[in-house]
Amino acid sequence: MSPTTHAIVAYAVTVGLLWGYALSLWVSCRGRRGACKSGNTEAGRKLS
Amino acid sequence: MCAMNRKIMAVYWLVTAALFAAAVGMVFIWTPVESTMGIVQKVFYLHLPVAINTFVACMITFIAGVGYLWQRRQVWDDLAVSSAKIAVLLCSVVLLTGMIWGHSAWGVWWTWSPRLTFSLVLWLLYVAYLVIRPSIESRQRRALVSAVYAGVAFLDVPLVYLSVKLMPEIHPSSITLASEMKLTLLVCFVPVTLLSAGLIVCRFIMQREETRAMDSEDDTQTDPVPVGSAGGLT
Amino acid sequence: MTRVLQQIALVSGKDLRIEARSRQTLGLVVVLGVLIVVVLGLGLGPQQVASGMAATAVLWVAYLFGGVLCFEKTMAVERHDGALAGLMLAPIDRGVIYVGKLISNLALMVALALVVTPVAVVMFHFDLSAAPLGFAAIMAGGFIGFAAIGTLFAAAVSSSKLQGGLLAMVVFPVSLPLVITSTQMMMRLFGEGEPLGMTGVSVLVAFDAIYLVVSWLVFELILEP
Repeated sequence: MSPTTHAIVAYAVTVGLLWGYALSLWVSCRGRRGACKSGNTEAGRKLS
Repeated sequence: MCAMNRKIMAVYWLVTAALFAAAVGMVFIWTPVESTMGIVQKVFYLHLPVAINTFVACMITFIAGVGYLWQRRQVWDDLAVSSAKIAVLLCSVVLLTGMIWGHSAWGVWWTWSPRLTFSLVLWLLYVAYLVIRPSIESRQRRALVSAVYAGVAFLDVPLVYLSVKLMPEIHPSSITLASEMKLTLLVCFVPVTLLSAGLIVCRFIMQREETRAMDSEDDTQTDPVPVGSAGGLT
Repeated sequence: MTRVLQQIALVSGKDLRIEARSRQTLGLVVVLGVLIVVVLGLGLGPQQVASGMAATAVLWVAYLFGGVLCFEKTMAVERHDGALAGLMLAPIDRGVIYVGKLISNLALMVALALVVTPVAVVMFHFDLSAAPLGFAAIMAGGFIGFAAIGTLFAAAVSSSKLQGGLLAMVVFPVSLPLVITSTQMMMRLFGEGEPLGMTGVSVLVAFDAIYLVVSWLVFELILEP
């Protein structure tokens, strides 16, 4: 591997891990909100 | 209030992402290539800020642990576990980028140099913190043991630093940087710090929600396992 | 002062008496240690074994696993018939209980080392006679720090219903710096024939001091029947 690839891979790893974690937090946060908070009323409205 | 918070969050994350992209762009386009190490030195602009943020996250875990021992409030434990998670994540990034850099500079993925060993031990300390937590059932007990462990682990850090000093060194102790490189490094600090702070806060908010959900569950059903029935190991 | 010493002697004397009568822990730990040395000797093969330097690492592995078992057992003794509640009700400082437990753990570990070290010395062609006092000093420093932290977490971990092995998870990462320091010092001492350096010794002493003080301070919080 050339040094350029090394540098790019290092940046990709960093971005992937940190922003990937941020994304996963966001997704699970949304999922949970849908399940318990505002989503509950929404689901309730749909069910009734 | 919730919508307001969400708006602030969205703005915060957009700004962080924009700054991050700008910093990466600055590193690759504007900053000159380092003469001896070549282009792979650009890893450094993320490596160092992330490493420093790792220490900050570890320190937050320590402070939260002390806070728990002092006040015995669940908030502190939630903060401790969230920042420990982020510390492990950041430390993994430090290790991985360091390994990639090392592979390019020294030709090996891993060498037992003091700095590498230090990061590895730090990583292991906090991974163990996260791994042992779920094994302790009672929540107060878990928070207590984790707080004590976080304290010991954090006090361990300077000692690890001293102990690895005994090993033969190949890591550069200080790098002389051109003024553009220093500026880039400073600029890179901003998004990385914002990102880690944001991650800790988000994780903390989620942890609080989880705790609250557990609390409302506990109200409806009592703990089925009586305390003190443990027979030890035998 | 003499009163405190007396109390410490009572607590650790009780543990050691139980151990002397049952010989449960020590037999287990010693056999485990010898097994570890043999397995590693077989696994490393004759070439690594001949270098002699592998012995310190192998010894540390045996001490770490054996030590964790000792810590678990000395605390497990208190789990029977609510003995710990009785101990906590006794009119003595919790710090005294800690120091007593620490001393009994150290005694067990020294007994383990006395058996396992000669085995490793013979099997790994380790030239202990080059600096026996240095070896003993380094190991003593390592043991005190390791036992200090192990005694603390044994009390923490065994009172929550946990499987064995978890204590190792807690104690090993925290005692890694001790292992690094002492193996580096051993390499200087036996590999290069240098005398004990001031830096190494002071790092070990710093470890022991910090671990002892911290554990002594928080032991009270963590002890629960």
